Amino acid sequence: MAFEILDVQIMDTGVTIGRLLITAIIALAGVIIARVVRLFFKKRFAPNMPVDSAKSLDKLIYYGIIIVFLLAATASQGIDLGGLVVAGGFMGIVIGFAAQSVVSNLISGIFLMIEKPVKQGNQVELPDSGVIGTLIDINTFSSRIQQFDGTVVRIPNEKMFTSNIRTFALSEIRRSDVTVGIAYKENIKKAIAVMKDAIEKNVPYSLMEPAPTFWVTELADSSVNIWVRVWHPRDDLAEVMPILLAVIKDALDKEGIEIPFPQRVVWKGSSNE
Amino acid sequence: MNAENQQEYSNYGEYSVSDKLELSLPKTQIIIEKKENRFSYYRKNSEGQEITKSIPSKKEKVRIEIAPILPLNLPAKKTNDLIFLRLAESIFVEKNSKADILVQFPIEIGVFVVNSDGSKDFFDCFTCKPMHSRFALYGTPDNGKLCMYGKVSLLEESTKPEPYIFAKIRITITNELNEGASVGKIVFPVTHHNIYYMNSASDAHIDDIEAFIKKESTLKIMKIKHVEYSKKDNNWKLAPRADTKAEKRKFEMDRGFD
Repeated sequence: MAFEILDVQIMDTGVTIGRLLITAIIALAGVIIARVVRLFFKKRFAPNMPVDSAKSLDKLIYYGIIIVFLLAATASQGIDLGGLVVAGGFMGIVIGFAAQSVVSNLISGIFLMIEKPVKQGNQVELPDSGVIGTLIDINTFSSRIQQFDGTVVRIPNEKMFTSNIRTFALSEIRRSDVTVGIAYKENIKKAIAVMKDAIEKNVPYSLMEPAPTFWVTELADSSVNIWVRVWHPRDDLAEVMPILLAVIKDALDKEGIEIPFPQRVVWKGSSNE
Repeated sequence: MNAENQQEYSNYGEYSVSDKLELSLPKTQIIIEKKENRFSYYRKNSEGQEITKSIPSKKEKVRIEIAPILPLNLPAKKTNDLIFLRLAESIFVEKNSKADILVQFPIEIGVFVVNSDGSKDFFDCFTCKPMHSRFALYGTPDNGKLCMYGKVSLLEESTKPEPYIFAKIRITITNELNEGASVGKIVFPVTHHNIYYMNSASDAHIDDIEAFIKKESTLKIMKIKHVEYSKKDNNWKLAPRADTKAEKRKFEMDRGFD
């Protein structure tokens, strides 16, 4: 008696509840197998692959297995998906109008994956949004950027696709700049030589070629300003910037080269005035 | 570095530690000591930093090997396998001629634990000259390749490079152009090169290279070919590797060599 319900047809389509149940079980098995394979891939293979390739392959494996199981399940149970496709096409138009931004995000996500202006793992900056960090994922509707303080920002794919994106991904190196002021009485050539020597000796991530460059950029109110430009490996900003100014200051101090600071003489008028 | 100072340093090779071993290298001190259920490892490096590690073991002895390794690990492993040798003085190779030079090659020092089956596990590495642990770019910022960097001098056949800081490499440059060419830098993939060291001494030699200066369409390039170090005899020992040996690959310097 209890099993008779399994033979009941759904809306005279020829599909019984039993067949639908078996289809769902096979599809569920597909999801479980996809998750197990994904887990195995993530643990064993992904760590040795480039981040973007690993993530793309991860998605391909996961959704590929689910789709194969779903198709196998429907085909084995004689469920015709043709009707669903027609219905899906009609529903697609309805949903498209109703959920324009969702579809827009979906399409933008696909274009982001095809055009690849940035890859997962790259350091990116969206100047319009003020977001700087590492691109950790491009998903169906949104991308996630992990900022350097550890927080993760979710950006809708449409916004990501239409934004200006600043990235260092195309080059293996990048440049960091700082400005150092020395007193007017100091010898500029000597100060530059001291800074260059200190950077070469104490900033190991600073490239020897192209070597650091020094531009006198301003004869300012209190100091002669020198623009120090240091090249370093692309992802090693944190190895250079925190110590660069400290290394320069220590070296200038050691050589007795003054780093001036603005001073103001306050004149107090005499009591006669 | 004079001969007297060289005598003060420990040699490359295998050491068996049962109680306490002290090794002295340029600006670097290593002490390995037997404790209750472990061997403690202490290294003070050339910048005054102290590193301590332990090898848990109930064995009476532990065997270690001190050997030169490729300079790819410090300050961090960033480059695939390229080394950029900046010659302190550039070499002028006359047209249709060959120049054979002996050059310093920067090295790092590797410490390996020797297992009972003879296999060796990489344990620690350091440099006796931190200025060698630097990077350079071969090419322009938009399309250049990140390389490890070393500024090197030419050597005479009879002179020995500074121990623990440099090995030797022989570079044969053939100029196939109809004009002279100036060579100021050599860039090449290095991970398939072997390093050999003189057992119980401090000499080291890396596999050699041959370079061919050619013209391809309008571009002057230098093709680099790996050549196995051929003059080694029984006193030379193959140094263990800190990384897996890479396949040989062709490389040409197509972004300048002066």
